[in-house]
Amino acid sequence: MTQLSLAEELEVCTQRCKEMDAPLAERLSAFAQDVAHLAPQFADIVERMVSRLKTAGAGNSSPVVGEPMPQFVLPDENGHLVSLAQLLDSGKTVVAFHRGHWCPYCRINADALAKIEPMVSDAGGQLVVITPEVQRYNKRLKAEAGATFPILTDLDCGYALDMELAIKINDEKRNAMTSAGWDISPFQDNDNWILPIPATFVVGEDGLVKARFVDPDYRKRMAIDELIAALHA
Amino acid sequence: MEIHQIRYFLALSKTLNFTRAAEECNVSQPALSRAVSQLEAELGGELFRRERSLTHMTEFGQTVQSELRRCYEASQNAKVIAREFLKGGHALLNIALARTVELDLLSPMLGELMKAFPNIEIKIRRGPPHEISELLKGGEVEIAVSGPLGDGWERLEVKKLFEQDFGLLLNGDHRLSQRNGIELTDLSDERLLSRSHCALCEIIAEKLKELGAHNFSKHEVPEIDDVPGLVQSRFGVGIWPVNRRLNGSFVISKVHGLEMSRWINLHTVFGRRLSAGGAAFVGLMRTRDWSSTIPQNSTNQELVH
Repeated sequence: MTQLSLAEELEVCTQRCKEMDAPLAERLSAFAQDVAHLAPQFADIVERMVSRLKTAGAGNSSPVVGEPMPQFVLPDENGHLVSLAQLLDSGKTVVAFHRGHWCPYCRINADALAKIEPMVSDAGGQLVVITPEVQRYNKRLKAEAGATFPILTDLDCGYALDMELAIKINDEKRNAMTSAGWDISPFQDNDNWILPIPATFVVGEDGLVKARFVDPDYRKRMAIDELIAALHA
Repeated sequence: MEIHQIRYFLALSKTLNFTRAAEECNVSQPALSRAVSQLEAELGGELFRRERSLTHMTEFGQTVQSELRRCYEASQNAKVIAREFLKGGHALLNIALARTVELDLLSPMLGELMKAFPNIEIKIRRGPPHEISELLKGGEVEIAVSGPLGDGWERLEVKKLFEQDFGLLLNGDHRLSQRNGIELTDLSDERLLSRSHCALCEIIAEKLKELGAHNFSKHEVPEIDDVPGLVQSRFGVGIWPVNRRLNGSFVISKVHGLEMSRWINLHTVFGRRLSAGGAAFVGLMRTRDWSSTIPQNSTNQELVH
């Protein structure tokens, strides 16, 4: 019998956490507990990385509330260029950075965002997700979440760096990810091992940031209530 | 990582001198030094050994240098694309294409560029690999889409796009057209319509020579689109991209034991800044899901394996 990779073992947990009737934060934390239980060594490596990033202040310089959101023009999952300027022409925009279709936390997060699309549009807003992955993988993330919002490719994390959100995965984490079954190189079309901090920004029609959630701990995401409240504010 | 930290790191990795790197980046030396230390703390390793006049990059620094440079260049590209887009879409795009790559394959990406940059001017060149290589080196084109350029130039950046499949192009009534499986030796009495600089034609000729097929001969034709007409007029058999559009009664066959495909790559020049149009084009090409976009065979041909 072949040994399941950690990614495969965690598939059941991902599905369970996606379907849980609980706030997003609880679902994400339930998944993190599953990881700690199934793979304590992997969880330790994550803790070390998060603590190093926090000490270094990673993500601190990204735009804060009241500052302009840097412009982007990026291809969506079907190869159509989407610009922030055009999105803002049709209303307030939630810009969520995700790490990719392989990341269970992003899958749980994308699922939660897909479920609130009607609420977002009732509030006069729209959603867009940005990942460093090429179109075929963004298509997968979108299809799995059942989302209608576009998922854009930020190739080589260029826009993420422009936003001061790019982080480098060190060798320890990279080896742990690769043996867990998460080799991100083919997904990103590079060997850089750079990922965005999965931050969320709510941007007003004036192009200014109305709400911001940036945490180098990738297991934490903007609460859905906070996101909706920012759109109504 | 912060964008200025990477900029200072890249300047320092070039000069290996804190004072000169600071001058180059237009900041004070302590500010540069502090930013590099902060980057080291975030990465969890020393990038430089600081030894006054003997300052040098660590092995770790060398490892991450190209990764951080690519990310930094991507951020410059992202900025230039957004800036030109907001300015009203003026852009230039100079690209070179291999003669076997149909323009149709690129039209979705070129269409997107036209929408984003309504005033874009696109200039497309075609040529054999060595000419494309020269155009890239000389800066006459910024991007090339072609098979391997076989040049070994160290500044060439190569990204795989999709695999292009070739077959033997036979007239519908050719003696081999109904054959189930063609062997290399079946070609020994044929004439091959060879394009100049066609790598596959050269491989076939070479292999047949090794097999002692002395009657095998070639006609040389300049352009890929000259091949079908000559095949139809029974001048010989051709080498043809399987997915290329074709009108008339032809059969495209594989030859046993002969690798008849190659990667079509995106070539750019390392360290050379791309224009807004070029950067957007590279992004669209590299992110594209090619598996679902390679056109299917047209109706007037059959594929015999």
